Amino acid sequence: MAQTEASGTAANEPAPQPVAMAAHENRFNLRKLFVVVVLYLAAFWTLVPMYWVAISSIKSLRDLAHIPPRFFPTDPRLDAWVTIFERRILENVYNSLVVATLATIICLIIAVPAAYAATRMRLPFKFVAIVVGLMGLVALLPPIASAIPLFLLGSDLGIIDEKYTLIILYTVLNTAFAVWVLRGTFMDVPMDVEEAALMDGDTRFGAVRRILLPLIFPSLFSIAILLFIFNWNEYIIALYFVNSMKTMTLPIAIQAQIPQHELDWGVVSAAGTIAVFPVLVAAFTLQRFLVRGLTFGVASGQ
Amino acid sequence: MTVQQTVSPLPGQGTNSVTSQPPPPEGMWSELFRYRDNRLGVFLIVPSLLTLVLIQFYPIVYNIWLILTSEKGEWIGLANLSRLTRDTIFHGALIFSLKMGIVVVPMCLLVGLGLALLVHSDYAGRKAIWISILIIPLMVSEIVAGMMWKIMYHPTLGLVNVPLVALGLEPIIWLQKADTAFIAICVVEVWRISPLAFLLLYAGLNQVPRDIYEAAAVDGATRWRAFWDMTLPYIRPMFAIATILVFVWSTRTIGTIAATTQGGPGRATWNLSWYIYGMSFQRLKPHYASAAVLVMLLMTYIAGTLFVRYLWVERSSR
Repeated sequence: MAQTEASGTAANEPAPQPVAMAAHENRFNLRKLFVVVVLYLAAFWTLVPMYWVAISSIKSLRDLAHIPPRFFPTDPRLDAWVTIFERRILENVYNSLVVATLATIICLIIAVPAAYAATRMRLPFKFVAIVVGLMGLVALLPPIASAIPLFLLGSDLGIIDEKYTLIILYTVLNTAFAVWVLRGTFMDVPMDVEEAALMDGDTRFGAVRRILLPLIFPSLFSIAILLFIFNWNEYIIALYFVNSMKTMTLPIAIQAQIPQHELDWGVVSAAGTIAVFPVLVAAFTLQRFLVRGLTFGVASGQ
Repeated sequence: MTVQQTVSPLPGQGTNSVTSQPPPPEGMWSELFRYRDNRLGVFLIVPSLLTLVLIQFYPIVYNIWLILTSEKGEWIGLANLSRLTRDTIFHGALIFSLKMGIVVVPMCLLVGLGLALLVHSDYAGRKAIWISILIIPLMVSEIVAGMMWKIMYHPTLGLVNVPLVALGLEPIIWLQKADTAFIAICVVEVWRISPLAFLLLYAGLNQVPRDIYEAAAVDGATRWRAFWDMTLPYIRPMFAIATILVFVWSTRTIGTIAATTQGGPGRATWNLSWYIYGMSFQRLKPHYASAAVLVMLLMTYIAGTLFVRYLWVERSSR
């Protein structure tokens, strides 16, 4: 992280090409132009589907039917939004919120001690290696591979179509990933301060609470956000375990709204906009931490 | 284990905790429970190990039982598997998944590497903002990504046909024909997954020490040579990780297909995940679908073992 930061600030002053710069002032500008233009194109490519969905949700029927399609709505309407709220999308949002939040919290409660033990305790190397290796492997597994056995187990126990089932499943689905990423975070915090506290007679728990947790809190918070987004987006398990409005999460609700042929795209666009909104907020407020989390903790622990 | 006998209540595990550990002891299990501290450590790890049991080991064992029995629960040995080898729908799905991997993985790596180099270059202004924008697709739900692109591909509502029409070409009905649907889905996947490659490779580029470039510039190396001989070797491990992750992500896709084509036209866009879902949930043949799960698991395990080896074994032996 510190490295990223350093290179980030250094980039504002065009410094490190002494040879090329002195010789070709023009080439420098051309290069910069090229980089910036391509980046703007990439940003356009990234954002345009989202923009398109957002404006499709407020286009009037006439605008929707217009050929060629209009890049800016001429006559914005909120009809689609009214419809989507009439179709009780707020219940889906509520379900998603409850399931994602609780699953995130429980997942961290399970994963933080494990990551602590794996990095801070004197466990045999081989044991830690096997555990962490397994976690990495599991974090890669396609959820659909576990979906059938879990679905059959759920049917036997009669717990299909319950919110708590989704919470349990989302928790276990993400624990391996959380341990893996948290491990990297813990390894980045030097042990000296903690050790000093222990030398001064603090208990292990006291050292964790007073020293380690405040230090890792920002990362912990961002990992929580990341897990929340994973849960918020989860689709495959929900596909098997959601049967009714009682448990229907947002992704399943969106799937249900997709029209196969007609022009009626406003409603599903509105639903999609609702689903993407928290993601956009997270992307811009927590960028630095999300990068760490999404790189799978690969970039940390150096 | 000598470390066990040091006075310090915590071992000196800094950022390099793993490398500073002595070689693995002989009797791991006896070692594990000899010390109070270790017992606490094991106790802290056990809950997350239990989640592994629930999400992985139980499903795998159950899967094997499912494969060996018929839909009525009778023992049929390997009949499900041999049926799978003759199932042309399954062949189609497997080939579609692999074909998609072959197209999507290099595209994602190219796009990701290009963007990573651009954002990492000194000309890229405020990197934080570029990164925020470029990683957004990673955090968009599969089904929402598919839905967005379904609108984009829509013959009249969508944006994709606009440049074609402007050039005087016929608009293409992307999702209605097998080959264009394949291209369309690959594009969605590249949109969705290339930010992962970007992010990993960008992180890799940040680990390249800057001063080696200055040294190379003094020695008169061209930028291209500097890239080829210094940057690439440095980011090679990260490149391998990105390749594996992108492959795994692209083969497990299901939301994109559910949102865009629903496997159609015909069965042209069935991939492995969609096949498993269709067989188990729509056609209610979970036992037979489990045989396909086995194939998918094997694919992921091979990729996953490589992943763990690169990430974990190489890292800890460094």
